Amino acid sequence: MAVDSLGSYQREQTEIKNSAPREHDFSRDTVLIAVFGALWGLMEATLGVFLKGLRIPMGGAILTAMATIILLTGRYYVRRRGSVLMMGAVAAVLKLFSIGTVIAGPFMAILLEALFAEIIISILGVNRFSYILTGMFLMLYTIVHPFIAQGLIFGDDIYTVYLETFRKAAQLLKLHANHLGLVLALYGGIHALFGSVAGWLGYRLPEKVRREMQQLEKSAEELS
Amino acid sequence: MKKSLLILTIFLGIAVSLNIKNQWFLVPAVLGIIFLMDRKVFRIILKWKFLFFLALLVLAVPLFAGIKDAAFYGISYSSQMFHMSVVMAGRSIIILLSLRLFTSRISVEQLAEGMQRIHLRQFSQVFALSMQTLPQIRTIAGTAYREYRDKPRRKNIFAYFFNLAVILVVRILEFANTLSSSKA
Repeated sequence: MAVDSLGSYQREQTEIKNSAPREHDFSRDTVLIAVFGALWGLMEATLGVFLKGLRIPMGGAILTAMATIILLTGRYYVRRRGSVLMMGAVAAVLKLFSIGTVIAGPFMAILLEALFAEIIISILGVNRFSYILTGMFLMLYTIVHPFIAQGLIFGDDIYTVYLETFRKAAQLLKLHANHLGLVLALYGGIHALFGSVAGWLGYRLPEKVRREMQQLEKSAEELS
Repeated sequence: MKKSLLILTIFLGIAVSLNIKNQWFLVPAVLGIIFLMDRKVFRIILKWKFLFFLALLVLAVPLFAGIKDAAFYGISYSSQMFHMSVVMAGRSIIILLSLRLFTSRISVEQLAEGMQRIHLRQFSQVFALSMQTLPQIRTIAGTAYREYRDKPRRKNIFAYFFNLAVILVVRILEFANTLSSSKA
């Protein structure tokens, strides 16, 4: 079983190396970046508006999870540094085109998602671990993002206000800091789990696609 | 775009350098300039959510947080928290207005052009191609969804959506291969 799984792993790695685009293969890369960037932008423009309209809880997290799967799938096929950032830039500008005007919020959010994913994958490479880590990081960032944005808009003092308010509220409700820590850990844990599933799917999807395409090729050969 | 970027930088610089002393003349001056430039941008701060947050920040926070060292008509409050909140409110208003002013003065096309200059090589080529392929991508996604929607649904909804995603990516890759071979 272990030998078999090792064999399949080696086969998988060889196939990945063989299927990875070569240095000179820029036209295919360009097309794939454009296509996956367009898909990401389309998803942001349609599903994003739909989820925002419905005002469902964790709508932003769902959107980030979907974006994670698309960008990671795209990165699997384009083994080039900067490709995720480029897909993100395409998606961000397409999103602005769909709105019809320049709005800083969604534009920066998409670009930041792409930048973080690009950094992690560039450091760790294309593998299951880096994909799961990217998914987890992006989903955890959705929790931190509003606080960072508020820090930029209101300044560092907003954190003092939050801490002071929490201290007072905790005194009134007789809560301990551990309780807040527990709630935060639980919320973060749900996001991290959700993100790791998105990352895992981002790696699983191209593998399943490869098998599906092989089957299609085989059946086409049989027919001919 | 350069002029708009310069204006944004100046206003952001003013917002960051705000303190309890200079805010009384800097905030009205900046608001006045922005009003003269484009009064429509003020719509962004006239949203109830933002106004409610500001009211909470300036009025409620000094009453509940910090050391209460001052009184207003017998209501004790924290003067340190009040001053801090007023500066934060001024800073947030300036930042939001200047960002809105900047984004209202540039077009999406100008932004796309600007992105080419920031080390995103081949961006214009990729972006033009993505704009070209967008209708086809939309058709592929729509067709895949409609075809899959009509199929008998499995009990596991995740497996159902995963298989839909597989079909979608297969078709997109086939489309990309066709496009790259035609471009080559």
